[in-house]
Amino acid sequence: MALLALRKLTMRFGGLTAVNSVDLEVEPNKIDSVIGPNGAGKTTVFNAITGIYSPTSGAITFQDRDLSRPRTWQVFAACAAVGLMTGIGLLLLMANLDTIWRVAIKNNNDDEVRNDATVIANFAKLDSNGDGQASLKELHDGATLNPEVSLARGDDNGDGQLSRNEFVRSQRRRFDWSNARRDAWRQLRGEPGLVRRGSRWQIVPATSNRMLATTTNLKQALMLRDNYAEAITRARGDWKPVEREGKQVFLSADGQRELLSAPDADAAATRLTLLKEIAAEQSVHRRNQWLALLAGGLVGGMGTYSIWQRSRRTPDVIALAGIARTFQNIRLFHNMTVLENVLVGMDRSFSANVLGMLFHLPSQRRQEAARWERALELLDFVRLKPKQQHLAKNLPYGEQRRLEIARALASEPKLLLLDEPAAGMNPTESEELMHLIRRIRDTGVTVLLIEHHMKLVMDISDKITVLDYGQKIAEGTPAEVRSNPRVIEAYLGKEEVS
Amino acid sequence: MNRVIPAALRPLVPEIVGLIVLLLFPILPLGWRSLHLPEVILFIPVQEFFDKLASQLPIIFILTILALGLNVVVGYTGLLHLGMGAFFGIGAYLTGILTVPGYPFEFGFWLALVCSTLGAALAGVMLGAPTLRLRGDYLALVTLGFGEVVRFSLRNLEEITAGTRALNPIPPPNLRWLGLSSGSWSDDMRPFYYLTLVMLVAVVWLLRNLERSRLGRAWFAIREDELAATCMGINAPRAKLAAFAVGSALAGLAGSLYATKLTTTAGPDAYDFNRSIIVLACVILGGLGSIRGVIVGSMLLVGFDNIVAPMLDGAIQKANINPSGNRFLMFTNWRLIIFGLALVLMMRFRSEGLLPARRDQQGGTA
Repeated sequence: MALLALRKLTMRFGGLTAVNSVDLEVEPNKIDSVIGPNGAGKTTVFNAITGIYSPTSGAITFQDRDLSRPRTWQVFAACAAVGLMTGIGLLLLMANLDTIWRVAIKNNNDDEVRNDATVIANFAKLDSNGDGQASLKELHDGATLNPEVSLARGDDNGDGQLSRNEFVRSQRRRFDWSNARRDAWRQLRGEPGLVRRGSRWQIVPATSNRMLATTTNLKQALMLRDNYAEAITRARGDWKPVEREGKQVFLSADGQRELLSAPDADAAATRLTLLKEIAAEQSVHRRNQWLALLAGGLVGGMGTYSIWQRSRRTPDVIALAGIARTFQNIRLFHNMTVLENVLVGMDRSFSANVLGMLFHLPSQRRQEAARWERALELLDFVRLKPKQQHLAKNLPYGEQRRLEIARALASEPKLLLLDEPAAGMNPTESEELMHLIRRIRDTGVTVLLIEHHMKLVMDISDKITVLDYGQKIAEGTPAEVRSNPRVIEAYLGKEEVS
Repeated sequence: MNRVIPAALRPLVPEIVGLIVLLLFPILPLGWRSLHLPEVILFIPVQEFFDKLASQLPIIFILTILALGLNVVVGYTGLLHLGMGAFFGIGAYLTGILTVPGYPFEFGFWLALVCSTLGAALAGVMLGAPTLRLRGDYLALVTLGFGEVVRFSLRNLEEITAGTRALNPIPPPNLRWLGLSSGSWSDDMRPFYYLTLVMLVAVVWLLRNLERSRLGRAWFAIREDELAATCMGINAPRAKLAAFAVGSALAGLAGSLYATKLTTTAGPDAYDFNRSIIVLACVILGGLGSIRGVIVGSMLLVGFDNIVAPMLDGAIQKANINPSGNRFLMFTNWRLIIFGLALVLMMRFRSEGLLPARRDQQGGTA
């Protein structure tokens, strides 16, 4: 079974084909090499394997798995949740958040509203023996929520009973959230609402600023609002005023209540036209609300899904699956210490407990200490332990290469990709590097390397793949590759017969 | 000396000395008043300076918390963020809405503080989640735009935020168990001084812990080389989002304290682009990514802005140099030029900041 398998990997950038249908298999516990002249597409193959670029076509499997995030039900649930939130957000914007706040919070926060007749009516229900005092027993019988709490809150004179004034006062202190919720819903559905102007209450349709009626009495205003809401609904259908006591009267659906009245037929007709207009506006408003919910849901959900889809094959997922790499141009974290560089490589093995991190809890400290031990072992492995507190940028070139290897090993990979590790090294250093690569292989890590240094490649590779102009031209053991005429041609050019 | 101080605390000596001075400072006014120092020493009005300092230090502490929040995003993670003022404003206005008597919530200070911090963090996540995949300048533009969006929203959501009239009065914190009545917060500068100082110290401690944790290392790694960091298995978008959340949370905390200190949310214009830029200047002046540097930077810049500039203005007025009220001769109108000049000189001669982060000892920032 191959550890890593590339099947017909093709990478195109615009019109340029960097890698063309390359097949590659890496067996576990081997040292394999990819060689080829400059511009052969070797690093592009590495970039495709580690997810920096996604392949134009072809498949990359690691341990017979495609390295991408699995498409689970959680993904769809998350997309749906984001979509719903976007939809609701858009809907609130359409309905004008400010107006909803005014109708639901401001209006209900008014003392006059809280001192509503319903509060007094509620007290009458509580006070079952009618002595003007609600005792704890009566509160219990009246199924009040938390009788003890409401008694303790409202009982100002401390006689163990709630008088009517005490009850009203205690209610006034509490904001009526259920009322606020109902008003907010009314506004969302586009039904008429109340607006306070000085001492007067105006009944205003949710969809425009036209005033329907005005009164100083809140109770009457609430009644008028409900009447208008019903009238607007009825105005949609075939609704005719009825003559009663010399006035034109609009009746409710059951014919029992007078919703509106007008002095004569003309006024009644104007009224009806207005109501029909408002009803039309209201249905447009409702349609727009649904559209906003739908559009927001679609944009939010689909957008989240497409972003997720695009980030299915990212370097971090691939690194977590067990592929680590080094870079051709050394990419260390230059302003961090040598030890920290290795600790970053170990990132996945630390706990993600945010509280532990914030408060530096003992469990966190123990874990850090254990990880430090491991990091120091790794530094010892590449013989950098004495330099653990140096900044990475202050290390000499060869040591930076070794540190990059230690950092890659810190993520406990099964496959290590080395991109020209011997570049710029002198013969002694590359000899040392060769031993290091062998030792890495002996710890059970498979190594795939790109290298121009032929002595190194020929000495340590179990299998060599040769790329030229993005195509695989040869594959086999060092001896086979060395004698392959196409390889010689790629490196030295064709022998011309002169 | 070396034997007196334990090794673990040795890198912290400047912080500890600074903390002791700041802890003792509010007791000092009594001290220097009793010394009967002359009003003016070497043309410097010493008395006036110390009085101003005493009244402005809580504000300086609050803005230092804001700068430390920005430092998480700009200094640690290397994302240019030009809209920190917006999160400061969100924190302040959340506290306003949740505590002011005209609204149905009327939470206490502590609950409002927690809600503002979490609310601002949530806003940060909502801004960050879709935009953090942008790189460099584009992210800076988005944050800049967001700052303006928030300011105009605060102004235009009249019913919720009271528009330009600002929300007030915000009640003082409830610390009756310490024997502080609600009157003592306005009469005496000390309760707020110690409250903000304790908050600042707590924030510094938490940030120091974060710096040395997995998350802190991931942030630094992303700042150094994002591609290499992701190839090491770091989920860069998530780490950046965490940085945004922590930074915005600290800004929200600072905003909440600020509004409580002023007892008003101070209108949407207090949270404009200028605020974001001055805080950014504090971070750059002090040293990107260095807690100690950011504290010194914001002490200097905010101190200059809130203490020295008004005093110079007063001096100019007193000396009758500017009887016609010429705006060019008012020092406050020159302060932004001075900030700019300071930044230019900084970039030229010491681009890493006054106290740059040193990472070559003990595996953490010293």
